[in-house]
Amino acid sequence: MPNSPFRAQSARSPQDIIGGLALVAIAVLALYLVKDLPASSRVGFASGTAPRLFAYALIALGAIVTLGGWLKEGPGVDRPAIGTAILAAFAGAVSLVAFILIKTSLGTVAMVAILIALALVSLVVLARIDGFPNDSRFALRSMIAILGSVLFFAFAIRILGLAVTGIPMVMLATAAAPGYRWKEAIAFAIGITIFCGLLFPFALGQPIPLWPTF
Amino acid sequence: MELVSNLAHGFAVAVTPMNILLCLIGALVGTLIGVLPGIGPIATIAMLLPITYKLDPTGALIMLSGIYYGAQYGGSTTAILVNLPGESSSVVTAIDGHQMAKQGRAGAALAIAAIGSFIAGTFGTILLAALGKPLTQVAQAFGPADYCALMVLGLVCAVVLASGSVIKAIAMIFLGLLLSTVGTDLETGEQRMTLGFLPLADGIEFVTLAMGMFGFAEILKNLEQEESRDLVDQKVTNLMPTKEDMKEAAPAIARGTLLGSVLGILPGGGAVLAAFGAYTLEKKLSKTPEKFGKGAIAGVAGPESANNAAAQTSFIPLLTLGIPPNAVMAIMVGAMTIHGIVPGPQIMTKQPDLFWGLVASMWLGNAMLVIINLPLVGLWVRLLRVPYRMLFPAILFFCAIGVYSINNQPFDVVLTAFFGLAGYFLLKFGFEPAPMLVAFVLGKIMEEKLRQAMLLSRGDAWTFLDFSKHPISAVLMIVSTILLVMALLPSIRKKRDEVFVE
Repeated sequence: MPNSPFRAQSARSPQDIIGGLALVAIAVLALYLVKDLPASSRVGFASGTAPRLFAYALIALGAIVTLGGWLKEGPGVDRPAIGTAILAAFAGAVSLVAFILIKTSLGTVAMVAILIALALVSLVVLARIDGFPNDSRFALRSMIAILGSVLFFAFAIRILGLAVTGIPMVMLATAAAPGYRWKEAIAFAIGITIFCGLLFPFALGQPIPLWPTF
Repeated sequence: MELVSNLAHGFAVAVTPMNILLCLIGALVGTLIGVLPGIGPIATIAMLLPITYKLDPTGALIMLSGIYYGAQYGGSTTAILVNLPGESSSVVTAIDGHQMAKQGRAGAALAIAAIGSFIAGTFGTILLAALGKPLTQVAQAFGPADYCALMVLGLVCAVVLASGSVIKAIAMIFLGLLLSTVGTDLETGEQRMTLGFLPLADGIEFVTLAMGMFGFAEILKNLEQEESRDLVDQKVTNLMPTKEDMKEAAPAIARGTLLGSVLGILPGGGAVLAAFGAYTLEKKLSKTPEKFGKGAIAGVAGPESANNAAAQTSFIPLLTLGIPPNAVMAIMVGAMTIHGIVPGPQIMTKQPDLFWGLVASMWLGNAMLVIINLPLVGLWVRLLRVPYRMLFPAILFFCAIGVYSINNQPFDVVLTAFFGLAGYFLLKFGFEPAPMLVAFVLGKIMEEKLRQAMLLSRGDAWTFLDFSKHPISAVLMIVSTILLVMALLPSIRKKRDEVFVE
């Protein structure tokens, strides 16, 4: 509705308004985090000076971007995209805390079991539901598969080793593309894991754990 | 001739069997990732960083540099045959190159691209060798205030030459600077913005930021679109361009080489901008501009020469002044730091082997790349048949292993995932991550120099503009201001946008 009367009153470029406000929010968070550091000293700079300077500049620029978004016509933002952002950030933070809690209270084996279960569940869900949204507005499918598989790797690598971590990780990552082929995914995951298992620890001598440590 | 003896010394370093092998590996990997769309030199160099641990610094840098300029060669193959930029710097090559391929002149297009790249690469390498010494001497006269001003100029150039909104680019610069201050304070040892995470005490690991913003975010973005590849399915024959082709392409190669060399040195420029600039220039100068877009050979020769010249000359500010002019050079700083080398003028005096060996290897690498790309083109075409749905999980797995191996730290992998998400949203909201990455790398050195300068002036911020004490700094600051004001003026901004639209 480019010419509707409501358009003129509402924000013209939601993309810039939200982007600008996000910058301001990041800067305010930074200011809060350095609040106990000295802002200046007798010789000019102290530990808290540079972060404050940069944060103030970021607040100003974020404000300009926001203001520009109000004054100038520009691309919009789809609500689902913002929803995905908040959801993904929230889910990431919750899972981080949850895993640290599980690891300290129930032990490593429990954490690994839960990890594998989670990876499998998301894999089956993504593989089953072919129409799972993954267009430019709502890339939830890629988020779960890509970021989920990387997080899985991060939590599992020290305990399970490369050989065991690799297969479910690659299988989950593959689910980011629609139209899952189980046989191809399994074969591909095993192949690439063997390749990396030979390449990194042996050929390149990386100190990366290859086998489970429990 | 000191230059000749230095170059001879460089070749002596570069032609050891080990270094030749590393140069070849770099060129091959560069071509590979150049050919494959969806993975760029930044993510690749970041991925291979841990692998270079065991090598000596010279060998490591020879290999990593080969990836960057090798990608410029490989990118054109995909652009010409598939109409997809294998590398972002070959976006414009696809316009005329693919048309030529459709007309059955794929061989000529590929050959011109390779020949142009080789000539440009040779010129860029000579320029690097020739400018190295004088620039190093200039840099040695720099005090902390001058250094600081130089970095300000670098960041301003990164803003001016970035595509899209100027204000958003400046905002990205400050976001990068802010992120660079995370970690332990260098002087007092206080923890800054670490949120209590122990691995953050050393600061945000550069590779996690680069890999997240450029590797993972790209994958997320690529997955939005359905895959379609318009591969020209014919045997590439007639690799030799005709005499007329050569006649038409030669001046374009010369102009592209010169333009690319200049844009490569400028901060914020690099290979992508050089290619765009060269295409616009050729179209403007051409007597038959209507041929552009329909298979004009100058539209392939100009940009391809320019992007490779720029890839070569962007090493000049890095190796002489210690300032990375673009995001790829920023990750080279990361590579150097891992090997205990501080980028800057002292490289040439303290590590002549490294400097001249690297320069010589670049020329060798360019020569190898012509061979790798022309007769072996069939092999690379076959690689293009690997579908993206098999490519990205492999990239992801390599990246995860690479990030983990840097410090053997799972936290770094989590951080990379976070930056991947953040980078994806930056792209969605029209913010460019490249200026942020450059600012992040410069941020640490900049804060250090800023503090030294302030200490010397006893807290007087006007010292940067004091002509009597710091003339270099004052001039650089004034130039930066003028550039910034110009970038913000509406009339010039319009022209700048036009360049990017084409």
